[in-house]
Amino acid sequence: MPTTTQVPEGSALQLPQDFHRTPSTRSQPARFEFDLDPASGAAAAEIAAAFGILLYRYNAQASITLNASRKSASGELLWRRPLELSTGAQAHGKSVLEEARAFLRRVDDGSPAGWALSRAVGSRAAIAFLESDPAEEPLDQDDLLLALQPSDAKFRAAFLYDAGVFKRTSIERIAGHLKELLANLLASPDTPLSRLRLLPQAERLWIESVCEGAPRKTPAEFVHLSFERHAAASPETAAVRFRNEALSYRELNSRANRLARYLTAQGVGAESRVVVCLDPSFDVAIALLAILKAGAVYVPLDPTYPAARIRAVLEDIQPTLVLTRSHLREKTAGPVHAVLALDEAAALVGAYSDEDPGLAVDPRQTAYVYYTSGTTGTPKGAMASQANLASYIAAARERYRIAATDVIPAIARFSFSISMFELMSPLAAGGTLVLLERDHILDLARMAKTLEGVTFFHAGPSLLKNILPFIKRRYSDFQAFAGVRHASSGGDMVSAEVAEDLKLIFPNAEVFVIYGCSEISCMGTTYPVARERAIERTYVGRVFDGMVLRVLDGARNILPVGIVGEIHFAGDGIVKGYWNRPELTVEKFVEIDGRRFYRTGDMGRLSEDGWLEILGRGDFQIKLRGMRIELGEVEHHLRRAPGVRDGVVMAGNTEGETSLIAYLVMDRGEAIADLAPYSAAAVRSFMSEHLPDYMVPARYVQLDSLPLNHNMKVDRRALPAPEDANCRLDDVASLRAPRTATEKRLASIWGKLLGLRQIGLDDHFFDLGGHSLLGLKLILAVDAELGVTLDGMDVLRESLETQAALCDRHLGKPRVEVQSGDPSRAPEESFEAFHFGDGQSLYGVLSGCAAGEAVLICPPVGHELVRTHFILRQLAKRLAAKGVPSLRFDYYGCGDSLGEGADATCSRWRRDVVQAYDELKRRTGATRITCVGVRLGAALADAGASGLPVAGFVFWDPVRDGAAHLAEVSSTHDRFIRVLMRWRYQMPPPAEGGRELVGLVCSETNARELETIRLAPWRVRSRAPVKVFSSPDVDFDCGWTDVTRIDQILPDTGVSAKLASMVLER
Amino acid sequence: MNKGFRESVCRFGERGHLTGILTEPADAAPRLAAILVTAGLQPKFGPFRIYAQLARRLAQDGVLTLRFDLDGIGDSGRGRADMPLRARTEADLRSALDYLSEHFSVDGVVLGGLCSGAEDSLRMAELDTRVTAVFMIDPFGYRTGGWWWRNLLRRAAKRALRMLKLWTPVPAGASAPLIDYKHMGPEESRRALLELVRRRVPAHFIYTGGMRDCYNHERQLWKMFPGLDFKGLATVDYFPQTGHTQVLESDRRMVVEAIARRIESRRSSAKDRM
Repeated sequence: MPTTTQVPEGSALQLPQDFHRTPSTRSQPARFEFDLDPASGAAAAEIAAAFGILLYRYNAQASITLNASRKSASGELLWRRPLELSTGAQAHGKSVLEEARAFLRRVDDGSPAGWALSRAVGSRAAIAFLESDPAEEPLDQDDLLLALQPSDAKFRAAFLYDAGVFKRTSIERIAGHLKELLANLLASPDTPLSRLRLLPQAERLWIESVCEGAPRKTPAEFVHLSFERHAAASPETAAVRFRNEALSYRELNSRANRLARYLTAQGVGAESRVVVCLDPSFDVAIALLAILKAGAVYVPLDPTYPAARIRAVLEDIQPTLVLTRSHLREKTAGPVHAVLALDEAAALVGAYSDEDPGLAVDPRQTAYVYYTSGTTGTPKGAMASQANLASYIAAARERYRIAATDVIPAIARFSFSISMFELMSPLAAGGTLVLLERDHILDLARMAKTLEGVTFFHAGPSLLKNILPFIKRRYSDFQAFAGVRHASSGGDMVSAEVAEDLKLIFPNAEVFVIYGCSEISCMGTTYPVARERAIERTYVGRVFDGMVLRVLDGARNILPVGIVGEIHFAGDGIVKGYWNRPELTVEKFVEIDGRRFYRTGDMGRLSEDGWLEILGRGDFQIKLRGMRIELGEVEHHLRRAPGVRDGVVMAGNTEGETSLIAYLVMDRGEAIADLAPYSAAAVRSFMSEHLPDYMVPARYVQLDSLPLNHNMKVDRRALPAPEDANCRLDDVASLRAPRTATEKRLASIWGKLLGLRQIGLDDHFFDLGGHSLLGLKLILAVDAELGVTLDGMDVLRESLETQAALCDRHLGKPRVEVQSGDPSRAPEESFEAFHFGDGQSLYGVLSGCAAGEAVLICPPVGHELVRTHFILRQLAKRLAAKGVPSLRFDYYGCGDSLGEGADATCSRWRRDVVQAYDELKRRTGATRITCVGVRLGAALADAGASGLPVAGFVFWDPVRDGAAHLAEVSSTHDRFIRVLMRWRYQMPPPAEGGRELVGLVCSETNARELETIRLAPWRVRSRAPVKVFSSPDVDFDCGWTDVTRIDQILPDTGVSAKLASMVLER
Repeated sequence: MNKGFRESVCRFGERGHLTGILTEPADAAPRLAAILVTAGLQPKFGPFRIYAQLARRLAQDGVLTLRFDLDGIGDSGRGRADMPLRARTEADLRSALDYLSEHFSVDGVVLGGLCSGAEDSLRMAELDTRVTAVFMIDPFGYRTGGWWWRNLLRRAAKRALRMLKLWTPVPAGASAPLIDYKHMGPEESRRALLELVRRRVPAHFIYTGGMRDCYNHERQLWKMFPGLDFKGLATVDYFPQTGHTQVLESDRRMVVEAIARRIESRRSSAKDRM
């Protein structure tokens, strides 16, 4: 069923303006005379009806209201009345004509010699019937006035317009539309309005020609065959680089062939779905090529997704096999499919031949499935054929002349379809692919360095908005980037500022904007940004070869130049549909004039040069940092979050950064400040468990109720701006307000960056949702506003108050103290460090004073201890501030306690827990002790405190299976060794006393004990209440042993606050 | 059980906000003290506990060691929060020296650490005459002409080995540092080293394979400071096969033993001079 896009009644009318009117736009009255229709002899009512229908076709409004009036030859206004024309779904030419005629009969004598003036309400368009020369009619504030002068029982017509808003060519086209409509209306008055012909044939043919890419002369080559051709021709050329290593075409082809043959031997073939769940590494390229060579279906899955989403995709796609690494095995396991950990299967796969498999591939068989956000709460998979993929890569290669000399980085996440362009374009062209880790991409200095060494790159505007100003600031000239010959962006609105910066920084690069989506194989249109002139509008260009573009109205009519409609695509890139979603496929892939089109949902218009301009979405889908998000999916999970009765999600903008804002109504409807902090934090935590990080709202605004419109639907426009609402998750009443000028200015900078109004002196930037990119922005902003360059470490660990003091010191300002005098004499934290336990062998730190309630913090062991040290100290401070003392301690052989790791055992560590419990009780006199256990510390707390009266447990990412944990840490350790082996030519000797686990020597006795650990929170619950906190950024099953990702939580992105809330919540 | 040492917690600093651990020889009064300066956000036990390991090893040689958390890190509280980072670190190190001076009678104090801890040690040694020796693990490194040639040769050798299939690079890696630490510039290091030479303060350098991007030969130190006469006070141990943070137990032992050996040899030669 086609849907009709209608502009709300009362909205300003859409006219094909060429320039935006601004306060400084100088009025430039101009006139264009044209012959309306000498043959028709149309009456005034018919012309008015045609003009109303024209406005309807431009705007799709259910009614058009014209204020009609009549002027005498002397210019005297005889009457003025509103003329309402019904242009809804049931209207047809005759009904509108009748309304116009009836109106004129009521208000006038109907004589064609009479004059009427019609003005479209709320628009800048008017129609005038004049006796005098139209040139004498003042244009007033109207941008467009249709003037009609009777002549021999017909009308002479002229458009009076403001040349500051319209080009003459646009006016000529409008005149053409009016003539075409009028002629069609008179010839076929029974035709529904949406079927009346609007476009003159010449204009229609021109639009069709500029919107149709040249057909491909020969079918595009399958991408894996292109790759094999280059592997045979240039075997020693570097095919892919990762970190400081490279694989040649020969090596890559050889490894991919072995894996392809292994897959085939396992029964993987056409239409077999193979999920690839890998962090950036050579394995990504190997797996992709192997799957294509085996003729199977490549389904990328981001390992950083929460377990729930990974499960949802696996359940939906029903894969034959999952290719991953051992530390992700558990996360990707399922009851039906097999899992192959590539790091463990090297010998198995290596046994197969490295010859090209040479399997026949049908162009219609599925090549890949990319999952995107779905409205119903579950992601949907766009399913592309081998022909789609071949066309996709060929279109890019041909348009951008990608060659063997090109070095192209893969910047997009592998789970997004644009990554196929980055991965396969260089490999299919004989060039070099550069794989990058996420933290590399987010490290602006490293990323800038990387861009110095590539020839071609594509990056989303959100990344460019950060890295381009960074480069401008850090580089004195841009010669370092002279080797870049192509820079493109897309996936989201590319601002003129970004495009101009690309031109500036990459002096030898062709700069392009690319527009597309998974369903059209990404290569929809492309726009070459001209170097020689400034950017006026953010065009996305013209179609690629093999593709067809249409801008259509709700009735699927082609819209004229300048009129906004929904963008549709047909052609070689249109994918097969959605996996397992036939209804959605039918809804989104429609047949028009015998061609299969995909409805993008994006709204856009054509320029008179044939460029496509994107203006936003026609539905509730948004793009955030280039990633498509169905707001419906986010809302689906929001409404399922604990304590949430209702909620909606909107995209908001703070300091040029778009982010998601969740508006929620809690079950009891209290103001957020009255809620226990954990209740609101739990919502964020819940969202993090079910959605990828980019779909988790950054800000949460609680409302008593959602605003409704007169149709009793949520009125999204009436939602308060987040700046006007309280977005903090904690108790703002207890905040210490900034006092000095510097503190206030700093708080203002924080507030702008974080989108918060209330910042307290004791707040920490990372606690309030800051992250590394924002931290960098903070340093730049403070530098610009206060002239002080803060150290990265200070941003990381210092409170607002301390940062302000640092700024004052840099500036040589005396501190203006209101309460506490010299800041260096600020109240000290109350804590005591000591040794305790057997032979004083354990080191502990007691924070806070004696109380009836206390907390025992059982840390993790090994490298995880170092990484959580900062957070657990913050937790202790928070608890102390609430009057709850806590004891942090190090196990025997760990941290500052005595003993060597090799001498420690789990039995000893469990005993340490008991001794720490006793010590805490002795020092504080507490009768109620809660245990916080982190990772292995959770299992040790459970086992150690099994005979103790513990009031409750809070587990942070607990290790549930000791054997799996041991395997994961061993795997991480192996990675360390592999790094060392880069410059080391012999394997290190084994440690005395046991195996090494990232710096911890673990005896075989201890390893055996570790393997027996099993922690089931439900079982613990039978003894005491248990709360489990899962880090939003790190999946506990794997992330903790992955040092590249655990760093993400090192700055304490609110973890200590959440843990404290969980401890304190009754 | 404690193999000849005893450990105790101490708190010092202007406001008692700094928390440290003293590791003392169990049997004899120490004649020499060492202060281990932490790096970045690392707590006082050091990366993979190497500071704890070193302190206990030095105790066997009769050396008293103080390892402590810098202001705001680990278990130390906030002291001079209004100071810039470098000034605050200097104040912390001065407090540590004051603490040792007040509580122990030792012939000298060795300052040392890893990475930023190494450079903070050198800065303090330049400023405070109580520091009688410095050891530095992976401090600054500056590329020299020789570095470029060796690097070229290394790369060529790797390529040849790869082509001959005698060596296969394995792609894997650890995390990028959270804080992009900028090493001390050559002017500052030269000035500090000149001051140490003037005062006849020995400096021992340990360079690991983790610094190969700027240091790739045992004797590169002398080329980095042309014209600077160290007067035999500078020594270098070069461990190209170890990583920056010594994740392997064998590497940690090697580094610990190297430091202990140097301190012991300096002490012996000082005794001989007496």
